[in-house]
Amino acid sequence: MFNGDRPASVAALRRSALIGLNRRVGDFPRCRAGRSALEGGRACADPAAVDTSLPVADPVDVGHYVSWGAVQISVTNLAIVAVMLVVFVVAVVMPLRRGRGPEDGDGQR
Amino acid sequence: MSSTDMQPRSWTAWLRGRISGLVPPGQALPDRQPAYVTSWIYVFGVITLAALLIVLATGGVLALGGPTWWHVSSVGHFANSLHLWSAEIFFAAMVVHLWGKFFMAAWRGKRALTWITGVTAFVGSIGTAFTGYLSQTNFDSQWIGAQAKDGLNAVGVGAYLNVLNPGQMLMWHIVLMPAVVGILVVWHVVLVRRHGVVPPIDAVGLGSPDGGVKQ
Repeated sequence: MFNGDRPASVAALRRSALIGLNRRVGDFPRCRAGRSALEGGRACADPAAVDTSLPVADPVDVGHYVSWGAVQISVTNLAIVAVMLVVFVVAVVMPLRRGRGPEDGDGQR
Repeated sequence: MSSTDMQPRSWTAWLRGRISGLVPPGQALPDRQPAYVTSWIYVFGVITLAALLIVLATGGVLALGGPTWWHVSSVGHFANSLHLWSAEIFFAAMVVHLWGKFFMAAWRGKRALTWITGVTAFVGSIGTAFTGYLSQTNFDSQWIGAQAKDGLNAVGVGAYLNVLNPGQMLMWHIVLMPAVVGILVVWHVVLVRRHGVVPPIDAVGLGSPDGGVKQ
């Protein structure tokens, strides 16, 4: 993380921010008061006014992955698949509350 | 003179007859279902449909402001988040629905076309989601486009589906793909209402229109 570093200029900070492509507008550096340039505000005239305490995505942090031969999947996606499998099993096993009267002669309710 | 001879010979009468004959009487919006439908595994189809309606509604809101509006508007952020999460729920529910129908062998009882339209709608939805990720107008969409172009060029479709052209991807996402998926989903639902909900395997005569026929 380079949150604690103070770049020499806004341009340098912007260049370093652009390294991480996968980020939201809100992650970009902004002045202590006002919006960032990408949000429609003006860039800080004084580099010292850049609030570097705000979170900036770490370009080195590429996430966590599980590899199995040619198969590679992120831990997040693996967890989502696991949750979906659990939901599927529960949906098959768990009974749905029965209501709205008894079955008719055709086996409908 | 038979009653059919008295039908007026016009395209509207022909169309009216076709529409009214799409599903059996009372099956378009039924208030009773076979007893075996009282199971959670039968819920995921309608969850998928509900999520799709929210996807379409929030997509309409995003279309009002244009492709970049959501970046600079709190209402746009909210609509975009609803659009994303309803799409996530749409896919998750659709996959569980697909698993359930696969292990139920849902193509039984002359339901092959129901199965085929469902699977095709699933594949079409993947294409719709893909063009949606390419239409975010941010670094994420640029990254995905840059990664995808090589694969699409390798299979020879890059000249027709240019993922580095955000205008083309946006049009595919909001016009062409929704039209394809919409037609397939309506077709799928009409077939479900026409042939009834597939019964569990070995559930014979439990209120299914086909008597739970096993094929």
